[in-house]
Amino acid sequence: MAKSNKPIIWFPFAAGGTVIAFFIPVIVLLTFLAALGYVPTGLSYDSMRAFAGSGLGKLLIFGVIALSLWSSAHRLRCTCYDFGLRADKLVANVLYLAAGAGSIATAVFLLRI
Amino acid sequence: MSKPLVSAGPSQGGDSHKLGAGVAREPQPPPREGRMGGAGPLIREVPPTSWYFRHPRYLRYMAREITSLFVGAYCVLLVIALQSLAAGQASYEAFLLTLRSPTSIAFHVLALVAALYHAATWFNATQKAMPIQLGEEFVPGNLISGAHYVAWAALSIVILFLAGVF
Amino acid sequence: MKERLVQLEVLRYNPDTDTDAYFQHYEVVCQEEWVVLDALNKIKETIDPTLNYRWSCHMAVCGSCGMMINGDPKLSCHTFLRDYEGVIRVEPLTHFPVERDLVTAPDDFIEKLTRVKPYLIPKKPKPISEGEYRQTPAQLKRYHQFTLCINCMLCYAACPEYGLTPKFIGPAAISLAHRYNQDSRDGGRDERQEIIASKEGVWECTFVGACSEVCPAHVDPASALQQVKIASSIDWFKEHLLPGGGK
Repeated sequence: MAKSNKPIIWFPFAAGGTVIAFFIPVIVLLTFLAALGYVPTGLSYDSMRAFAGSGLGKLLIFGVIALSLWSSAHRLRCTCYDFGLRADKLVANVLYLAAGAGSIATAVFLLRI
Repeated sequence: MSKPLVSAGPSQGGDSHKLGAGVAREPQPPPREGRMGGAGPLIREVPPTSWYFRHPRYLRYMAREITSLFVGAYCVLLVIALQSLAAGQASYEAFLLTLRSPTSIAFHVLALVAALYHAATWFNATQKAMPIQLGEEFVPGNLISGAHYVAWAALSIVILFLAGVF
Repeated sequence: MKERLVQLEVLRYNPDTDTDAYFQHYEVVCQEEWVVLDALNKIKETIDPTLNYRWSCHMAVCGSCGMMINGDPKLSCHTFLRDYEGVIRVEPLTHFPVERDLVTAPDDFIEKLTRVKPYLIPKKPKPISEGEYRQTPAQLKRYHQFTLCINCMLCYAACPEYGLTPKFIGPAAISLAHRYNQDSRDGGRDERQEIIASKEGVWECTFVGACSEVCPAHVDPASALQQVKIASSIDWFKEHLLPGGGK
């Protein structure tokens, strides 16, 4: 029996889980305020352009989105299995590809700013 | 061989007479009429699509796992936000307006609950995944999780402040 | 002493004659402070001598009287009747084949436990003349909690991932591997990693945490398994990204 290569999947999942825990609740809160009609000044076009235009901003945005997407994709894969869906390979491929595509799109949009 | 359980005891009388003390394995009795004898060990299969209804702890676990659906969907929303930000001011402001729809507000409520539940379960788990031994003793688990909660609150306040909420 | 009429619904199965299991209802007068095992013993002694179940120590040490009590894996010697109302449902441990009534076949667990080499593998042979292995209290404490496992298999009955994927090596075996990996006298981690970091090993765990909730010895297998995941990930990155495999 050989050691599994699962750490390639699991380690970014764990990193992403930590990122989600620390960052996503407050980010949801910010866009929730915008949804309620109160757009925080930091979410205005000029502030967001300035933030996403900086190197650190790009890195932070990409890191949070890419890791959160990966973590969610992996957890959803396990959830599908827990719900009795036995096509694990197919589910895994679809979800990991979707997370990868989302990360590439994030990088592309960031480079345009 | 997934078999339903019969809640009555159709054969209890016969069995209790036949097996005596019932501890030792007795010589196999001849199969009785109308019954399949010698079925061997019974595999009681777990229902693969509904096992989590068996105990509240499994429902709590499934709730934790399902948060990923809302968090994942919210990340897709963030990618769309980024797309509109890259496309220019008009596009970004149109995006901010679409956030005001009732569907969006409902989704935000669900995403917020999911993200908070994820955060709480994650921080509670840190003490299990990363115990810290200082000298002889282990640092109390609640201190490790508590430190994460404190850091989380501080970080959230800083981000809200930087975003101009207060 | 106070007495109480206790009603139990016990799963019955006789492999020689039954094609299916069924529940049998018993009513038995018990002392207020008795445990479920006492009730079963009284049933066996006074009502139905054909009832089969395993037990030995009656003090939560031997780990042989595990059964599902109202759907929860418990040691029946450690489960007090006073904590229950109405009919108490007693079934054999889930996820294991039922041999007879409440007796399950532990073979799968034993095989897995053997596979993870749950014993000290010294770093190099050491003759007795060189004296004993010495260990500081801190080194002992590092793994002590994981030595408390009594192999009762309640964690396997609680683990849904073991039920869904029976190849999974499971909570107790991986926790015991971790126990020896954490021992300063041991040098066998590489051998055990081949088993517990394999596909059937720790990666089947999704951290449900049920194992730790039901563990009567407070081993906290869920904690052991998460630690093994982190350590195995670090191994992997060392082996694949560092020159010379990080050795």
